[in-house]
Amino acid sequence: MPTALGEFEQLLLLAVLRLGDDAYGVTVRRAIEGATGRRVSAGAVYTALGRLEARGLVTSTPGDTVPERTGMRRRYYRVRPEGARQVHRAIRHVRAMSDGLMPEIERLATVDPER
Amino acid sequence: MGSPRPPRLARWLLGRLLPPEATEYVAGDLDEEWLRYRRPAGRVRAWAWYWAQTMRSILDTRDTEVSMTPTPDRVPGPGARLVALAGDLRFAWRTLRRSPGYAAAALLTLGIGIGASVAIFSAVNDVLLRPLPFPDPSRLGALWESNVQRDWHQVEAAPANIEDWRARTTTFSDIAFANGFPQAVSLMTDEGPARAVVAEVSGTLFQVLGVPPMLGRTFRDDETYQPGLVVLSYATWRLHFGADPSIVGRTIRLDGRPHEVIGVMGPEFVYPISEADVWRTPAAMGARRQSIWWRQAHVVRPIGRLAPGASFAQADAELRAISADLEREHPDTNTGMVGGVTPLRTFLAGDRRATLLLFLGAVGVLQLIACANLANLMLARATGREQELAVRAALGAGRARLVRQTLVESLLLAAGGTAIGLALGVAGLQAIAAVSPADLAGVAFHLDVRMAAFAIGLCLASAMLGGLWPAWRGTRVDPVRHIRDGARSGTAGRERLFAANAVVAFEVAMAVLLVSAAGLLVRSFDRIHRIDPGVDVSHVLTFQVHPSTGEFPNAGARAGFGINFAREIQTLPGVEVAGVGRGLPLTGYAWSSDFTIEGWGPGRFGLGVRHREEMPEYFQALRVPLVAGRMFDDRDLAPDAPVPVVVNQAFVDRYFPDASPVGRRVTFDREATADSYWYPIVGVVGNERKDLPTAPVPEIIAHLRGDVPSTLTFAVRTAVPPLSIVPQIRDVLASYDREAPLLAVRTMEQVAAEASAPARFAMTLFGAFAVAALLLAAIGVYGVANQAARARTREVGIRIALGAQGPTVVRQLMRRGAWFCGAGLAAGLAGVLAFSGLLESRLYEVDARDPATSSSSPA
Repeated sequence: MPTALGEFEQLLLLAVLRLGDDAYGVTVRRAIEGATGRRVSAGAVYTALGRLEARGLVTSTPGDTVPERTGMRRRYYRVRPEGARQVHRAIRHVRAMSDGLMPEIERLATVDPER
Repeated sequence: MGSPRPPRLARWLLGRLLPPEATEYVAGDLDEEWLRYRRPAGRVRAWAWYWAQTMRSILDTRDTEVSMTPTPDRVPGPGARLVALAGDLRFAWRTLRRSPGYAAAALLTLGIGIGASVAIFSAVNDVLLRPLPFPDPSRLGALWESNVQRDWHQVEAAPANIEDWRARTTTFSDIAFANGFPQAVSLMTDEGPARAVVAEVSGTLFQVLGVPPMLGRTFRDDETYQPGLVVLSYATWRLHFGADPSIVGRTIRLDGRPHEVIGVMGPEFVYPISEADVWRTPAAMGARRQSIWWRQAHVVRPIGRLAPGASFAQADAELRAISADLEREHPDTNTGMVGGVTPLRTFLAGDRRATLLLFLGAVGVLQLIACANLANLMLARATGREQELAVRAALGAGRARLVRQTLVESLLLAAGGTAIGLALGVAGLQAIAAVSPADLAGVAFHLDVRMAAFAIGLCLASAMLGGLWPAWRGTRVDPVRHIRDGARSGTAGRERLFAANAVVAFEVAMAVLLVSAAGLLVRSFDRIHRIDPGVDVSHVLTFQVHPSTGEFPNAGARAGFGINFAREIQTLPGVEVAGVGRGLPLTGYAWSSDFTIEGWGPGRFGLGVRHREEMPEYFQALRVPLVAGRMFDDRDLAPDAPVPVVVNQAFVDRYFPDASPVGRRVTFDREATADSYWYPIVGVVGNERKDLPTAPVPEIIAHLRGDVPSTLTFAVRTAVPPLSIVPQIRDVLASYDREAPLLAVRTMEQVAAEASAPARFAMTLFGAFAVAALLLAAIGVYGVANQAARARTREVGIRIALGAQGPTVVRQLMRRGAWFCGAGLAAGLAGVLAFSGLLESRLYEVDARDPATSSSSPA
């Protein structure tokens, strides 16, 4: 049985899917920071994507050199079918568990913490 | 702006510390984003962003569990050590973040210790270590004369002696001099009269210092006694002359007389001898070149520059030899006079060296307590982590590896503590500079090589002192026993508790040391504070006036001004009596001179009696009692009347223990000659303290007519709050002398407070150290007690279950702690006795081994 996806891994897969042909370190990091407000380091993105690649969930190909990267290449990522399956499963589970619950969750989340 | 490039060091670190296959992509990502970010965010923020990303990327990619590289320990190649260190750092960072309470306690402890150290070291650096701002400053020396017979220690030299030294020396390339007593005089500016401190320097002083002027020129050798030339300081030039670029050659009014500006010094020039706004030559002094005064008056401070190849030892020996020759040539003035030289930096530091080293010792003790606390905290954690460490050891981690891991953690804490300490230290230094007495006022923080080395050294030393022992002890685990026994080890922490207790005993000892020192200083200050100054300091206003030489060119004119001005002040409402003369109580003595009494016979004379001049109202204003004879009165103002003197009680006690000096006559020569001037002694007054804390010495106080100082000091007794009459006095002064400003306006109470300020300052600073030490030691004791209780929870539980009484158990737990605290106390008291000699010089009428203070401090 494959290891379940962590939250950060889900976010990464979704970002790569959303970015299509333009998914590499900078864009992925910005997408996650923009959507969640969470501060992510370039190193963390790279390490986690490397881990997903080792598990066969994404593939990567080095791109061309770009002048503003002082001669260093980008590494572009794509989601493999197994990655899509796993992220789909994770979302389905969350959907199933939260179905009809949103009003209650929102009510609880807005309760004054002092009381 | 240069071409935009990411921070080089960060790039280098990335190349070193990221897994090789990741470097290209991560670094490329950062470069690309940095370029986009730089313009909207600004350089500083972009730079900070790049560094933050670099550090976090390094930490985030060194995840050993998932790293695609071999484990750091086994990475071959030059970067291996750094890579391993980064892994340890990352691990330490994570563990600390997981226990914020522990991290905060450690950081706070170290921050307080290091903060105190940094503050005091900054002052030491500023006063003792930084080179003086002159070319080749280590070749500059301050010259002096000492005279054992007169109890003179490194005093100013007589001008005639300096001229002879200068003519005969081979070890100095030149000897210049400066008037040791600068004066505040009036300076006419475009906006009216201002106060300017004028320092008098010989023609070549600026050349000896090696500092050229910013504008114009400085004095020449042949101008030493030529009047009417002035060099301005940069501040005076900016403030009073609007930074006029064509000021050189302009004539300004200084001290009521025209002076030609010949030069302006640059903003970086610091005059080392005294305060100074402008410089002129000692032209007035030159008029007395032919008199005996020239070799008698020790009024100028020589500054010399060593000749190439000469050493201070050679120069000192040469000055001694020349002094011996001078002693033979001028026995009447030079008997016992010995010349010498001290490096200028040491000379300028003076008394402050001992004070600062004492403070440095105190913060050193505080720092040791802080390190002990760190050690304690780490020991406590090691207890909590025995299991973890045992497992790691079982899995093959070598002991060195575990020690290194612990040390990296203490290093990380020390680095954080140093950062906090630097911030606290700079703030602390500013507080010291603000509240300290004159001798440390204005000390400044300089981030230079010495400061950086000190901070880094302190950081490493703290990490080692705090971390090494716990690392060694903490990692001495027996995996087999621990894993087999699991949590069953009831009192297994016994050995470790002993270690922690020993550390606490050490902390208590150190804290006792500081608290005792503070206690002694408090008692000393209290004694000083209670000294009877011999005068009534309440309701007295004091100030000074330097009548401009242009309007009041000679002593007679100055005396007339002082007397008339004081009398007019007396007519103001709220004023009881106004005295004028030279100096005030608690501000030091003015002159000293040998004397003889009429009828003492040949060869009998008194050495170095203090003397000054006052008008009779001075004694009334300060309520100095008349003990015998009469006070000066209007008869003494007659031009043909002899100048009378009164002597103080200390003079009578020393020289007339069985008789009254009233009616005798005194002269300021060792041997009376036909030219000697005889002063009739008309009365005896009570002792007044001229400085703290030394006891009053014999004084002869002449009527103001005897010698009129160029700066007159006034003491005014009022029925109203003293400072409230200052505006009226200012108006009266303007009607006498439009150019002279009112100087040094203070109440006598303020003067007295300033006199005890050094004692108050030492007491306050040591008090602060002592409070910090107690606080830190208390944290340590609490930590260990807590740890001890937790480690023995199981044991205690079993005992109670077996029927032990609650109180008995508590007593047993406390006995152990108390035993160690007692040992610490004993060691601390022993330390107080051992180090008390260091403190002795700062104490007044308190024995450094004072048992009452020492033994009450532990309470």
